Amino acid sequence: MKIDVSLNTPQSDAGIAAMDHVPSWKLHRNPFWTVKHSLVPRQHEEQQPLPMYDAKGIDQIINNKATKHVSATPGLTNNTQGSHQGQSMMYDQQQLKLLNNTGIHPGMSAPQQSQIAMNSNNMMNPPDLVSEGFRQAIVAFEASKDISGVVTLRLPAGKKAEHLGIKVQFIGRIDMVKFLN
Amino acid sequence: MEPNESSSMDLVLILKLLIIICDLEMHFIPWAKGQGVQESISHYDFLTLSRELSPPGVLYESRTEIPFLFRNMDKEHESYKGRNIAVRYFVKVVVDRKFLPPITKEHDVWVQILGQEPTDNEAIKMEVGIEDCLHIEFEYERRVFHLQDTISGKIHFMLVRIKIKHMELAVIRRETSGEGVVSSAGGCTSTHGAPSGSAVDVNNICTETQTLVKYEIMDGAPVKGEVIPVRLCLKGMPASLTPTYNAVNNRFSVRYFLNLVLVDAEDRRYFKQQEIILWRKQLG
Repeated sequence: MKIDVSLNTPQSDAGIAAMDHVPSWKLHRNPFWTVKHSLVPRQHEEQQPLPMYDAKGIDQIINNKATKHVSATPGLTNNTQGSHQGQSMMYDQQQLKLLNNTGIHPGMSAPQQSQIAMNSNNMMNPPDLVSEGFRQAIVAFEASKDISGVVTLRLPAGKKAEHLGIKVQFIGRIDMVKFLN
Repeated sequence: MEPNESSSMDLVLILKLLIIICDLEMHFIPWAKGQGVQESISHYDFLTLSRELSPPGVLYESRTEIPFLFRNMDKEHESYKGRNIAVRYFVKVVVDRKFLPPITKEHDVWVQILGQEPTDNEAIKMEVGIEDCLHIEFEYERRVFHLQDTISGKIHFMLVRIKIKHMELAVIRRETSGEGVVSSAGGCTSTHGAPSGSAVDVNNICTETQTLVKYEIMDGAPVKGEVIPVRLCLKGMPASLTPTYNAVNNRFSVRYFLNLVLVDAEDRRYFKQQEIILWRKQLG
């Protein structure tokens, strides 16, 4: 049995704010950490449809690349140009094959997109774009906020599970390193 | 079977059991996992609320969703992740089972507390120096700042008889943790010499000091009467600033200091630390 907990985090709520990273003791030595952990562009990317996986789009990319190669070799005769074009086409197709296999595409978030697409095929857990966007983001609650959410219990199809009660706890805890001298 | 043989079989069995026990320990006891032997992690739950979601029964559905709600909780501390101490809030789901250990799942909740704008926020003004060698007066506009604030101030050189090479301004964070931290939090000046590092004192109170940023704010030797302006934006700090915590649950404090350092031609360092108080104005 799998248990998932999701909290209700309405974006319009003033007492709840998205954070770009989990606050910690560490210093961000990387000057680009705000870019790396940025929340907003990720959401935009995920809201976009997936045009890159359109077969027509791929054809267009091939053609564009091929014409670029041709224009880059102006001194050649027609024949050699033709063969060159063929070669570059081959090359591009091979590259695209590779790209298709690995699912990597120009555009940084392509692997994630493909993952979401895969998830949408899987009827067990339909995607929720908002929660997908917030999955890596952390949300800060104001102290007076009520904490609400949903517990999801998942079972393999056709199985049943006996239990002696399900409870949910809210715990505030101080973890402390003790030095034993 | 010979008695000898059986005892050796027993030995093998015992050895196997021992190996299994060792393995278990490695997995379930946190201090066995590394980190050095002299450290152990202790928990203290200051808030526990429980809600029954379902009485004993049988689940048939492949997907069961149960909403829950915790209302009017007294969340008196902020979530905090420090070097030696952490304040965590989490939602824990427990499914009890017959004859088997319960299935649990934890989900962390980050809690922040908005502070109050301080009513009196007097300037920091202080004259420091070494007799007949160096007299400076520094002045910071305020003592209390919010986390996105800008610190502004100036430094007057009243008397300069030593050859100063440069001057630095650093922001220092100090985490003091241990039971009964209150008693020692006031005079916490033991690690001034080391800008970053940790120290454990006799009462088992641990002090971690960390330099968040260090800027050179003056280059070359100043003359008498020179005024150096200071302007420091806290928002651009490459660290997750927290408000100043003072003896949270009598277990830890987090304080912030401005450290002004003058370096002379012989690389001697003259410094003065001044505490600043931070508070949270907005979430995030």
